[in-house]
Amino acid sequence: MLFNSIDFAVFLPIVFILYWFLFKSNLKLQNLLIVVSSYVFYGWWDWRFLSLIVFSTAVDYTVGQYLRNEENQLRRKVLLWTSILVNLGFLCLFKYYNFFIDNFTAAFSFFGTEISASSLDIILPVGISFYTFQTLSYTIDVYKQKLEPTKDIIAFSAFVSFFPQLVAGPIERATNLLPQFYKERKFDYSRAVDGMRQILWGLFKKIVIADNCAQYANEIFNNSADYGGSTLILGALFFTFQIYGDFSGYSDIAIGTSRLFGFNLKQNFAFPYFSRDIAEFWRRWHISLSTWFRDYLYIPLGGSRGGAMMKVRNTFIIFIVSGFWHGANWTFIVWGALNAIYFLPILLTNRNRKNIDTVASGRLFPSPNEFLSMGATFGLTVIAWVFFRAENMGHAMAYISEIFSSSTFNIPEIRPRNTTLLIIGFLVIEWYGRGQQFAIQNLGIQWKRPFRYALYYAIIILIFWFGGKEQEFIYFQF
Amino acid sequence: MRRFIRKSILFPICFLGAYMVVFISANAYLNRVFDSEGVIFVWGDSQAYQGVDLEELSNEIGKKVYTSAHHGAGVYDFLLFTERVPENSNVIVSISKLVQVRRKENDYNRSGLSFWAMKNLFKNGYSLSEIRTVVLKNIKPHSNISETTELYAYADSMRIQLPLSHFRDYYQKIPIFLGDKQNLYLIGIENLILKNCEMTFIEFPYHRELESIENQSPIKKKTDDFIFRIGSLFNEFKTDTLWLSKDQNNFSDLSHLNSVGANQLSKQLGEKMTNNERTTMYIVR
Repeated sequence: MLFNSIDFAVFLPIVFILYWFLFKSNLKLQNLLIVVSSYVFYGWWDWRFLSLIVFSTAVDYTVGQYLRNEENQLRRKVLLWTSILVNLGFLCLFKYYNFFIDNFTAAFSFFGTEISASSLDIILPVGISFYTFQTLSYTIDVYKQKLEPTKDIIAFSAFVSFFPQLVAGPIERATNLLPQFYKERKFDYSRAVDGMRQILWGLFKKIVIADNCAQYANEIFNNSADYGGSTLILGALFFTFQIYGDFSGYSDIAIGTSRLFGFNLKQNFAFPYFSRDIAEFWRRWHISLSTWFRDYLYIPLGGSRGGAMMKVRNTFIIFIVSGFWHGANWTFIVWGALNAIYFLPILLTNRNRKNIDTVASGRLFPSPNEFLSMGATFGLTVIAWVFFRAENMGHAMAYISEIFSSSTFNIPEIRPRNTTLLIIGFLVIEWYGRGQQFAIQNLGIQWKRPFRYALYYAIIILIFWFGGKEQEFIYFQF
Repeated sequence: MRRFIRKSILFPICFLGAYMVVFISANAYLNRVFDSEGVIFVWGDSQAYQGVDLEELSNEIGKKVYTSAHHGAGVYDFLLFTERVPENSNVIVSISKLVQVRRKENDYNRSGLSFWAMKNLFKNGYSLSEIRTVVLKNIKPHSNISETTELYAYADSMRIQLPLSHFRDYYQKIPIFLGDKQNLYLIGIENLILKNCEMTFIEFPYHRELESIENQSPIKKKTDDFIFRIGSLFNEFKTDTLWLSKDQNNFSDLSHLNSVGANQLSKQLGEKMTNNERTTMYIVR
């Protein structure tokens, strides 16, 4: 079920009313409702893959129970690895099997040996990368004794399958989300209204910004050989805003929906395109994934504690794995590696925590220095997105080389005026609200009701009038 | 909680009210030309959009010409056009064969919201889901009238955008909705008659290759009968032929004229319309 569908517009109020009216006084029933509605939400897409979630839930719950009483370190490790292998096994089978098979056969044929291995004709279950990582965080935290394993299987199932963030995150940590299922939840008016505002902004980002940009990005990337450098730059820019609007829009809707049910999810995007360096960008982009890799991969590998070589190794590992997480294609791996290359000079010169605060905090405009830093970081990011979007490495290289050709100085063949104006307006609002959880969190909050409502109505009308052709959320495929 | 529910109900209701005001105002502004008197209005699909040189026609007739022709225009667009056209107007209508056989979901159908038109769709075989699609397409007001069109530039030979196989698919069998669509067009024409509009019909030419597909198609009888059904709505109805010169290539592709064809056609049409007072179906050859 898509957030921007009529189905969801019917589904959400039904669950909301049942949750707050029928099951209000019973926490267990509320949690059970969340599990059932989450399974309906997921099964709406393809019910067959529900079995994967149920199996994953059962394995991690059982491993958690065994870990509770197990003190033998070896056995604890075996239990942990059981969970990791089961979860990553599914992920590898559905997401990476064909990639490895294709590359192995290609590698052997390169050396003159033909091997026969057939790829599988399987579809990728939506959101598998997200719920796999979420449930893994539970087992790892229980193993590290940072979290008490839960006895409540309903609460645990709700944690794994919580519908607002099931298919595209944010990837919540068990330490943050699971305890919220144990506590009695009271309806909080201001939190619910805040959630509605965040949903509205998320829909705007997805339907207006992302879907409009997608039309041009798809046209330009799919026919890149027909266009000159200046149009290709536009294509890369449109994709840059498409992926941000798409993914951060989804996160906003997910967080806003959770707030309606009394849950607090962590911020997943913190205005990343206003970052002054790549390190700041990665603290602001897909925060739940970056911190997941930091805590469960980078730090266990030694983090930044060792010498320069260790920093280089660990940085490459984390970025390449992060790229590979996005998809089984060399383009994602190169995208990750490129970001590692961007990041390393900052890390090695210990400037990676230079820009912690919000840019131009307390000021309306950035300083020239900040402006240049933001522009440079944005430019590097745009180039990296070309690899992310391209069909294959050949496509990406041809695209980049055309950008750096003389045709870049020609007038672009495609000049979408409305979409450009919408992006500019969007950036202005994002800049204005950059210190908050989402851009319109405080916008108009002090205004009189008619003006405040007029603002919300204007956003809804923009969604109706300028909504692009419906596209699936990009991150569903990851 | 009660406060939240109350506001959650009030918010969309107020929004609906506010939206209707905005929609009606925007729609009235964008389509204000429909209030003009003493002008000629053109309706059709891409054949009419590309096939009428508005400037040439206007010069011949000595009146302003506005077009509501649009690529892919469908029956819902036509019904709205007939609603908007003022009484006693002069109207040129082209209901091409392709517009009759085109799949419902491929129709443009973005001319605005009209309960009357939707009611007629429903009465004539459109399902609720198809009407819902029409509503969704029309949430945003569109400008449905223009003083200018962009004609296809002249070229010595045609460019084949859609292969013949595409048209063969269309003409292979009689679509299940053909009768319903034709009925709806007749409802629109009756509406124009009630408004005392002076009507001229025009059938644009197809390239001979496409024409031969059409001649062999089982649809031909139905589309030919449709012309007689139109004629039966009028007390006096005649058909006439406009001949395009073969000196230059008149076609942009298999079903659309280029600027040379459009210019020739508009000139002849203008002359004939000036001298003719009866409702006429002009068949262009």
